[in-house]
Amino acid sequence: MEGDREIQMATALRQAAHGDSQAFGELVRQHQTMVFSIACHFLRNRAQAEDVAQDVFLELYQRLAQIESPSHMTFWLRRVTINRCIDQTRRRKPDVALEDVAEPRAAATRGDPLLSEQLQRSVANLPERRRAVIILRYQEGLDLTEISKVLDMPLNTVKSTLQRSLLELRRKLTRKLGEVRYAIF
Amino acid sequence: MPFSEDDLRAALRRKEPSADFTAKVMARLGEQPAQKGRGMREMKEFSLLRWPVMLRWAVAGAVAAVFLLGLGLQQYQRRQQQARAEQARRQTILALQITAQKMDHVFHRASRTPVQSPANIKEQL
Repeated sequence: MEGDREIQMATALRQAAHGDSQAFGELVRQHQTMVFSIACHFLRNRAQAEDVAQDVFLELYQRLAQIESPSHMTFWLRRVTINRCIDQTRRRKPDVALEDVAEPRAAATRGDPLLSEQLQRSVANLPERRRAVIILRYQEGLDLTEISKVLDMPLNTVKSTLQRSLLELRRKLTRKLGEVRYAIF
Repeated sequence: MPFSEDDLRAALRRKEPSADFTAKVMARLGEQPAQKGRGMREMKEFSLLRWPVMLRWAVAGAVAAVFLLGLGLQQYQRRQQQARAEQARRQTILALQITAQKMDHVFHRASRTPVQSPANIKEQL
């Protein structure tokens, strides 16, 4: 199954590189959730995340000739999305917060919704590199070596960044949930 | 510990973009006037590495032939220039020899003529 998908992606990639816009549309459809989700968790703003994701795909179209394989494309998309999100964060402050915008196709929430919400907020408030490491680790499920390649960071730096980020998240969550419990009870 | 790694995975689960996301990307793609990707792709397709082996050898041979031809032409021009310089040197030496002979002749003629004193010249006048 995975092999079939890989072959389909390779074919679509080759056709798109030869100017087939339908094949490029298929590539967009297959990767839009990944690219949008990285941007959305990074920026915590759906509108900005959609803009960034669209820009990433437009850049992909410009660079199709340099993409060697479907796995290279996935790697490239993750790296460029993270870099564009970092640029976006540095360029401007978020104008519309995610919590103010209704999610049109929100999936059913698993686990504790309050905890998820607090976690998303806390991740979005981490420094850029830490945020990127956490998103690639827990949204994309990458191992530390893959994260170090995507972010072009030494492996040991990724390890220490991940540990520090988790500690920071736990500290923030403990404080925030404590405040909420205090407010409720 | 307030949360587990699974909680984090659940919080950071993937989200779907708007339903018309692909359409928006394709629309923006249509607005782009120049396709740098296609240009680069064509450059890549016509790059030397993609040419057939025979054609690569033919091109390499032609380039080598042109180089050797240029080198030969340069050598030929240098030889021609040296020959012209040698000829000019010989002509100069010949001209100097002729001049020396003429000067000798004049000198001998002048030395054979008797020298007249100023008194004789007066008498002749």
